[in-house]
Amino acid sequence: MKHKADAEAKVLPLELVEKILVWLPVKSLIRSRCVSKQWLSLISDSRFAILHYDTADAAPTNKNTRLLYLSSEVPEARCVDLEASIRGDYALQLPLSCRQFSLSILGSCRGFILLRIHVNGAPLLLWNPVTGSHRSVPYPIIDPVPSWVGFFGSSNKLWGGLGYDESCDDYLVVVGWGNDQEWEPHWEYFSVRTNSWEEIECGHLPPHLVTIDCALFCNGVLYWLAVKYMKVNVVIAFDLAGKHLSMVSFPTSGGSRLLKLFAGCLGISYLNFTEDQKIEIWVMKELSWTRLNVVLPYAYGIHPLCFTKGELVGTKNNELVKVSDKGVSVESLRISCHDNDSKMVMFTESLLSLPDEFGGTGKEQGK
Amino acid sequence: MELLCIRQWISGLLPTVKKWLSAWCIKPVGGALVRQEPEYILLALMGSPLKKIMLCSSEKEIFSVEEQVMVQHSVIINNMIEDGSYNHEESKIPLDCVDSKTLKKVIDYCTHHTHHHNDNQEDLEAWDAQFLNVDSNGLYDLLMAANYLEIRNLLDLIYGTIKNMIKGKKIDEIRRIFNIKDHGFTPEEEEQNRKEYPHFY
Repeated sequence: MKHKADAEAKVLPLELVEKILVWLPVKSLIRSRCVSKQWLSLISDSRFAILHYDTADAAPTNKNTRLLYLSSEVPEARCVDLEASIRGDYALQLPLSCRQFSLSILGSCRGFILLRIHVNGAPLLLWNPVTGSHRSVPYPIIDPVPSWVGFFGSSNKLWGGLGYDESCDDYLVVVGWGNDQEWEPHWEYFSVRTNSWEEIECGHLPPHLVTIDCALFCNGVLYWLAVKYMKVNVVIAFDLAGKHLSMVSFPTSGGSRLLKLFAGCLGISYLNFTEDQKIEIWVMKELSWTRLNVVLPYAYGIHPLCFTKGELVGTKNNELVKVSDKGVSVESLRISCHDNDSKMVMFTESLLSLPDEFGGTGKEQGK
Repeated sequence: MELLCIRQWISGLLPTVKKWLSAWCIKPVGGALVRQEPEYILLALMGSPLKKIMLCSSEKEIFSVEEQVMVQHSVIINNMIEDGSYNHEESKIPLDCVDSKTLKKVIDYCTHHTHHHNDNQEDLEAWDAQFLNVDSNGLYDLLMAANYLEIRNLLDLIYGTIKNMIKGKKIDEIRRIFNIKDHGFTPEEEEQNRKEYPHFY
């Protein structure tokens, strides 16, 4: 009573293959493009990339989140899966146009990294390390040309961030520059869709406020730690939908602070220089701060990066360390990267491409 | 007037009598043989049978299963019953894309999960793992059936299993699992792929 289907090979229809592939991590997907031509066209489709990203993001923890850092020894970026063994790090090729220059990271969002090239006249770069595609974003033209022209590309106080505006499916590059003692800060944002810069109103912020660190993007808002006269003062927030700058107060005072994302929420870790020398982590849930019950001996000198499954991962000098909730070191990895936020960022691997971008896989765009 | 009452009383009894008769008989229904589960007969005698529905495989074999079980798991069957297109007395649900072996397994899964939904997670997972201990043709059939009947938890279980099967495997292994005989690449393209991902080949 056996049917003829037995003699033919049973092949899953593509729509079911898609439902399986959507659960794969990005690295497996990239390789799986070689399985067959059908799979190649499925995985390269931007619709699939969006489905894959949304599925991963809907999970309690996004399994594609990685730490990316710029190696100081060789011109490459390295990627570490902090949830798995941190020793399983791998290299990612930098875009050809910027391999020989000094770079820093201004922000990351949905699989894209905003790179700053430290060369006069070089533009900003929006880069997807997984697919290799990138796009140049030239700095805004300021008129009248201020006295500090030639500023861009040098290492003066320039900060930035990359965010995603869900309401219009647009990526915004935010850039600010200034000096906390002399000239007032200037803020602008660039929309990838309109390909143009717009100024951001910042007169309502306290004077002489400039930011440090890479921006953090969380729930439609970009956050920076801001300093005034060299003291860390407040958190600046830029709401992407409303294009509006505002300030967020700290949950508590004391200690030096670092801004990180913890479990998809904005977090602040306090390194308390009290007798206990503890690290406290506060996260913001629904506009109010709550303290996570994680207090680790600060004696380990760790700058926290991420807190996952009860373990804390952070940097300590030139090492990446993973520490259990008892403060015991679980794993460590020597990284050739100075413990400096502009060289490392937490990012989520994705296959996404920028709006109006064509042929994103490995092709170089613009020079 | 008394005659009317008697007539009404008899006609009131008729459906129950009919049920009892059909419970005892194995009668042809639409050209196939209806299998009666033992508990149905017993319950029919007690007067309150568990509501059953009849599913018909592609091989024209009929399976009787508790309506509650299928309604809980299969969106398609639930919709059919809700919108009234299924009539308990007469019709069976034809499932032409599902063969008997697979249909029996699907019914097994749904029945177990309905009756054991209060079990602890580990036991359920162990049962699921045992349930999916089939060859890839069997897995393929189960996936197609679960997709057709829209059984969410069985689908998720199978997706997860296949995803784990292919994670970390080499390309030949993946092609074998998915029965991909012709990958569609030219020899030059294959060579290019091999150079780019040597560890995958």
